[in-house]
Amino acid sequence: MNVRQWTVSLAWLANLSRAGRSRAVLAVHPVDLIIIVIYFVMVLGIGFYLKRYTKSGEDFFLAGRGMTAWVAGLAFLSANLGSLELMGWAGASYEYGILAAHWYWIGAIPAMVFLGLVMMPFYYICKTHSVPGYLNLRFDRATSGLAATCLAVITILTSGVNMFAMALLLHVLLGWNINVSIWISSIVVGIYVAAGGLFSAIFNEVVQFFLIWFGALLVPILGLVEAGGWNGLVARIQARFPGQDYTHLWKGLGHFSTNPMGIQWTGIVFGLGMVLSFGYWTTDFLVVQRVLAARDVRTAKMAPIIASFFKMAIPFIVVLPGLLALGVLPFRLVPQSAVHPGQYSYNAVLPLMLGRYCGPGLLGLGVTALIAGFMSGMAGNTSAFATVWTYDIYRSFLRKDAADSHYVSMGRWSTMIGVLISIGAAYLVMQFASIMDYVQALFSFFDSPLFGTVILGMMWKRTTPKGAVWGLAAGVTSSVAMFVWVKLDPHMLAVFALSPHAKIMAENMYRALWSWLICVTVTVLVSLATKPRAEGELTSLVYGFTELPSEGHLSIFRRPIFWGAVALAAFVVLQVIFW
Amino acid sequence: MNPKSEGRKDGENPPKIAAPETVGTAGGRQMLPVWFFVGIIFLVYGVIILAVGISEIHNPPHTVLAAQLHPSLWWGGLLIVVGAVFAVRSRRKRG
Repeated sequence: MNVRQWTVSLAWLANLSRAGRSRAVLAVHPVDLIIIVIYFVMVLGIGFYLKRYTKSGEDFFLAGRGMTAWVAGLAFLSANLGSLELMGWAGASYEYGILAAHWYWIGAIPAMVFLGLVMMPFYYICKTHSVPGYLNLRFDRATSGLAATCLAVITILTSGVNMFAMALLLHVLLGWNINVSIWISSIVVGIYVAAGGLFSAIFNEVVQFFLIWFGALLVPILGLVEAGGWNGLVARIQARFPGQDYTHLWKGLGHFSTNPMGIQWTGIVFGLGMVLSFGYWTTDFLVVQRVLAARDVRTAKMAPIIASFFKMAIPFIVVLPGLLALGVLPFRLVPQSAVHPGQYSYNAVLPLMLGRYCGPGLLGLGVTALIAGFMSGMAGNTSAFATVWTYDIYRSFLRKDAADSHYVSMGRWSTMIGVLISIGAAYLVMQFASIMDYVQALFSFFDSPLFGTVILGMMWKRTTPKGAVWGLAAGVTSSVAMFVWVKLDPHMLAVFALSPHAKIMAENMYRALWSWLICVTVTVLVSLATKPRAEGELTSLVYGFTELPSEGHLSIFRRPIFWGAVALAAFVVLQVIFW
Repeated sequence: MNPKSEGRKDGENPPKIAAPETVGTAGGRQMLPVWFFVGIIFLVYGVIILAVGISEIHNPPHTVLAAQLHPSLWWGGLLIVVGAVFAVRSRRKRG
């Protein structure tokens, strides 16, 4: 689950940077540098290699709609697997224990299976190139334009923040120059995405996916060896933190005050599991674009389901290192606000554990995994921006009838211009660090209401264009208003999150829930008062008016619904094991 | 994509694809599958890390807690095996 508002505290990095820390957190050997340089050469090489195969708009923006379920599924997951998120959740695991795994399990798996089995057929069969494109077909240009403009601005700003965060991280961890890191990484991403379009982004995301796994996997393996396995780790944690529960998923969620996260099970189940996760995984174009590149409907349905199995495993390389740090590190990490010289905050867990277990070469692989995570996120944002700009804004509102080659050219130019705007955003953030918190919250304002709009549009034929645009606007506005209100008056947190014991994580969950409910309510009310589209115009767009391909001739093992059920069963088993 | 091809109005099915993972051709040459690139980079990294591991057998790094387990040695070997499997299988598929 990519909750962008919960990532590594960038203020932590900025403070360390400004404090002129005398030594980098990690000492890099020349062989590590060789490994990092090889990675950059490889991603550029893939981009130039794929350029010759990228001829049409369908190639550039949808990777020729020819990806297998495995490729689309891994790219789908990789676009979400940013380094800030990996480091942030490893830190959260140190702070909150295994509760952090909720963001990978209930905060992702049901939504990914739902996307595959229920929503993907509509996205795919209507042959849209984007989520705003679907809104244009289902409703009108106003709804689509609102969604496209929000997405374009958010993706490009997020890309800039990621860029700055990566440069800052490399500066703090390795002592590298911030400006050099920003320019080199962004130009490399810009070149390979502009050259090969979504082909290139997807190919590199798959490579990056494997690098992230093989770069980070040694930490939990060696950590478990050191801790004496899972039981040994639990015993160590209990001995070092008596009376605190870091190793149960649901036991402490009966009340806001009985768990370190300050949240209740309703916030996790309804806010995270039913709204935030569905909003992100089913409507965020950054990830959905990868599945639209699948070669047929069955493949498009299978891709998110395949990804869900890998998503279930990610706590092994993210949450487990945080728990291992609780059990084996000889010193305590502290909250960001309490860091003194010689101390590290929770957010340093992953680099510290990499440094603990990885020598020369392996450390380079681990750092390459972090860089790969950043670059896959940047490339995802950049390719999504190029598509939304070219098709949902430029073609819809500025130039409707140009040749296909013109739109490909526009896609390449908008990629490079998008990268330059991202660099500008990175420097803006460098000057005004607090902007980052707001940019990271932007997606949360948008995703949950958008899910309300899309799901009503797909499932309820009575939803009208006016209902959609007003519902979406109301949902986004209410989310922004709640966010600002809590910033101005922190006491409002208790009102929105329904408890005086609620903490900031609970605010995110309940804000998403309320904004979704507001969106759905307004959409329904306005739709009932306005004229719906004729049923004949809803073919391939709405449930009941869409002919879904039969899978009756397929063996059970080739049916998406079978693997979706297996994924959900595995998800339930994990909840029981770590209850 | 032609501007008119957006959406169902176009009426055409998605393009038929000749082979999994390889969607495009250029100058008669079929695109290499992504697994080939994964295989190559793993092979290269595996060789480098294995070489480091071999050099560390008699000279383990003092700062690394798990040096006695020789992780570079077996992790480098694993990367080589995984990389070779990916590269060879993807070349065969292409052929």
